[in-house]
Amino acid sequence: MTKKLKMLQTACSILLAVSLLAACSGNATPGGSGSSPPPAATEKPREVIDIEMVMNSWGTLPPETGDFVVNKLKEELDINLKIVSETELMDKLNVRAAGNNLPDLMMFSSANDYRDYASRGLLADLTPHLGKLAQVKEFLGQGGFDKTTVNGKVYGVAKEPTLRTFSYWIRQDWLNNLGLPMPTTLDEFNDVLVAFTKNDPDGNKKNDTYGMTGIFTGLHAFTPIMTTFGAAPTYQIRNGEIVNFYSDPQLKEVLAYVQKLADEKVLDPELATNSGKMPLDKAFQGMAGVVYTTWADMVKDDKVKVWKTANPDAEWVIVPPFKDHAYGEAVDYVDAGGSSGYVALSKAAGSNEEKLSRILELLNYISHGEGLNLVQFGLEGEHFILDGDKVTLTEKSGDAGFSWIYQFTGRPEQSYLAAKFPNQVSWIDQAAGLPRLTVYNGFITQLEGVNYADRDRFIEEEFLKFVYNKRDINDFDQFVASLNSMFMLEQETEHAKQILSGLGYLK
Amino acid sequence: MAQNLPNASTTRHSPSVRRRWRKELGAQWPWYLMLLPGLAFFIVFKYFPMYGVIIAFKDYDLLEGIAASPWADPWYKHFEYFYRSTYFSQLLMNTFLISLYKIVFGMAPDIVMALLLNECRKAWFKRSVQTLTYMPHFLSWVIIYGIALAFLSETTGILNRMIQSIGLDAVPFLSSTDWFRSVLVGSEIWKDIGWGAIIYLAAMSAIDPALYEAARVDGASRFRMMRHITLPGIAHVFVLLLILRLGHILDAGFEQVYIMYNIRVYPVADIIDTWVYRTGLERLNFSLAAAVGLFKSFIGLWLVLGANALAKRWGQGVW
Repeated sequence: MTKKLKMLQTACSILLAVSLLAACSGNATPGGSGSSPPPAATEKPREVIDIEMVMNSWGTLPPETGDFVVNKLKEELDINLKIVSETELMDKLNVRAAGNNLPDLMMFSSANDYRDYASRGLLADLTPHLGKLAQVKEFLGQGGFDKTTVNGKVYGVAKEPTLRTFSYWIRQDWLNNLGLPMPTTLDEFNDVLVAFTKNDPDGNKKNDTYGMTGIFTGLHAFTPIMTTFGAAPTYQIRNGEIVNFYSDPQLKEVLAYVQKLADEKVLDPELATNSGKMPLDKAFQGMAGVVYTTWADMVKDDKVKVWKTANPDAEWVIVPPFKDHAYGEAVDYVDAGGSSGYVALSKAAGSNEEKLSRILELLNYISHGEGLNLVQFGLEGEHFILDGDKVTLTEKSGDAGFSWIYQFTGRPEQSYLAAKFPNQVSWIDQAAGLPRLTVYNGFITQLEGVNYADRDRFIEEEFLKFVYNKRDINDFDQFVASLNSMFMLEQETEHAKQILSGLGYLK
Repeated sequence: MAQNLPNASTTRHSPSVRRRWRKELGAQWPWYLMLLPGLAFFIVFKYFPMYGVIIAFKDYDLLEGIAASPWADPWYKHFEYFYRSTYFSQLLMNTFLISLYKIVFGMAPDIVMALLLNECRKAWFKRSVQTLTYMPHFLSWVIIYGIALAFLSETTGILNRMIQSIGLDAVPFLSSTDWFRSVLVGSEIWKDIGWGAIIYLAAMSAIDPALYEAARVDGASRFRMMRHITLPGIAHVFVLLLILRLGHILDAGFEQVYIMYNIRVYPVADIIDTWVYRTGLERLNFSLAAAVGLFKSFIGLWLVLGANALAKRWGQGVW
C-alpha cells in the first residue's frame, strides 16, 4: 500500500515537473518578442493601432523580431500588424467565430468559406467604402470586387490569382533508361506507366517502383487525363452549354481509363490515403515516375536539392499535352472566377471607424508603388535595386523570402516570378504556357438544403468503387441519377446556369 | 436518489432531523468544506453549460447568441436532419460496433495485465513494466498514428516489408475495410492497457491479505487464489467500469478515428462524431452538433440506468 502511494507520489511529481517546465518555456517566447525596438517617430501624431490578421501561410512565418515589413507599416501607416498563421485555418476561425472573437483581418483560401462567412453576417460590409479603395481597384480591376460580391454586397477583396502551373511531371532519366520516348497520347502514357512499374526503371533489380503517385480526392492526381478527355471540375462551358463535371459523359471515359490503370497496378496503392506533401515525398524518394504538380514543388533550388540528394541521376521534366484530346489540348483547368485568397474584415473591425480606415489604407498601400514592391521584394536598396521599372534582387534578397505573406491583394505575377526566380524562369514560362480548360467555379454559390459533406463523401466513395472495380463503370448513369435524387445535382446545375447567364458568360 | 426525494419532502420540517443535521455538520464540517470545491466544479463546468443544450432546438446564429437565436421549426428539425441523412444507419452501426469491440476485446487485456503484474515477485520488474505499459496512454493519437503508419503502411510499413520479403502480397491494414476496425481496437488496447491495469491493481491491493494467508494455510495454489480471491475481489470494479463504458457506447473515440480514417474505410469507420464534425462543426452548424450530442447523451443515460438496474439484480450495482 505504502509502496503504491510512493509510486503515485513519484508519478505526480514527475508530471508536475514536466508541466512546470512546459510553463517556463511557454513564458520565454513572449518575453523575447517584447524587446523589439520602438517605432521610429514620425511627424504624424497618430496612435499606433494593433491589427491582427489570421491566414494560412503554409509553413512560412515572418521573423519574430526585426520583421522589416511590420516596421515599415508601423512607420508609414501607424499600424502594428500581427500575422497569425494557422494550418487548420477554418477550424481555428470557426472556433473564434463561435466565441465572437474573430480577428480583424482574415484571408480565406476558398470562395465557399468566404461566402459562408459573408452570408452569416460575420464580415464587415465594404460596399459603402469602395470609393476609398482606389489603388486596390486599379491593381485588381473590377473583377477583384465582382468575385467577392455576395447578395449584391462586397465583403472583401479577391486576391489576384496566382499563375496556374500544374501539369504532369515525369522522370526523364527513367524514360531514357527504358529507351522510351516522351508519351504524346493517352495510350502511350499508359504504356509508360506500365513500364515504370514493371521494367525496373531505376535499375536496382528490385520491384519497388510505381508509375504514378498523387492524391485521389477529387481525382486530383488524374487531372491531365481528365482534361484531355475534356472533363474538369466543376462547371465549364462547352459549345455554349453549361457542363457539370459529375454528370458529364466524359467523366465516364476518365473513370474507365483510370480504372484500367488501377487494374494494371501502376498506381501507388496508397493513392487514396495520401495527403499533403506525401506524394511529392514518394516521388522524390524514387518510388514513382509521374506526379501531378507545379514548378514550385519540383524545380525551386531547395526542392532540386532534395531529389538530387535522394537520386543523383534523377531528372524531372514536364509532360506536354496529349494529342488524342476530345475538346482541345489541355493539361489542367483554370478557374475564371478564381482567386488565391479572399481578404475580409470581421464585423467588429468594420464597425471601428479608425481601424476600418487604417485597414483600407493598408490594402491600398500594398497594392501600388512602394508598398507593392515592399511586399514583393523587400526594402529598396537593401533587398532589391530599382532601375526604372526593372527590379534586380541583391544578395540579401533571401532575407525577404517571407514577404509574400503580406501580399494580401496579390502581385503582378509574371514580373514578380521573373525577378524572384531567375533560375526557374524557363520552367515557369513553359508550365504557364500550357493549354488549360476554363471553369467558372469561383462564381457559383452552393445550394441551400444540400448536405455537401455527405455529397463529397458519396462522390469520393463511388469514384473509388469505379476505379478499383468494385462497381461496374456502366453504372455511371445510375451514379448520376443518385446525385440528382440525393443531392439535387440538376437543381445545382440550373442554379449555376442562372448565375453564369447573369454575369454574361453564358449566352 | 429517487427513493430519497419523497422522504426529504415529508420530513423537511421535522425538528429532530434538523437537529441531527446540525449535529452532523458540527462534527464533520471540515469534510463538508472539502466537498465544496468539487461541487462548485460540477456546477460551474458541468451543470451550468447544460444551458447551451437549448441550441439543439434553435437555429443557432453565432452573432445573435443563444438567447436571441430563433427557435427551430419544427422543434425536432435538427434531429430529423440527422435521422434523414444518407448515412444515418451506417453511422449508428459503425459507432455501436466499434464501441462494442472496444469493450469486448479491450477490457479483458487490462485485467490480464493487472493479474500478471499482481503475481509478479520482483518489485523492480513489476514497476518498470507498469511504467512502460502506461506510458503510451500519454501519447496523442497523432503520434500513435505515426507509429501505426511506420509499421502498417502498405508501401513503407515495416510489417508489410516483412510480409513482402517472404513472398506474400502487402496487406492494406490502414485502407482496407476488412482490417481497419481491428487496427482501431488494437491500437486502443496498446495505448491504454497499462492505464486500464492501474485501477484493477488498486482494487487488488485493497483485498484483505488475511484471505490469502488463510487460503495458503489451506493449501490453495496461486492459480486457485487468483480464481477465488483476486477475481471476486475486483469484480465490483469491473462492473463499475463496464457500466461507465456502456454510458459512452456512442462515443467510439472521435480523435482516434478522425486521425486514422480515410475515404477508403469510411463505410466501416465513419462514426457519429466524425460525421458531426464534418457536417456540423466544419460548416458552423452548431445546432445540428448539439442535437446529435443530446441524442447520444440520452441513449447513454438510459444504457447506464439499465445496466445498473441489471447489475443490482446480481448484487453489484454502482448506486
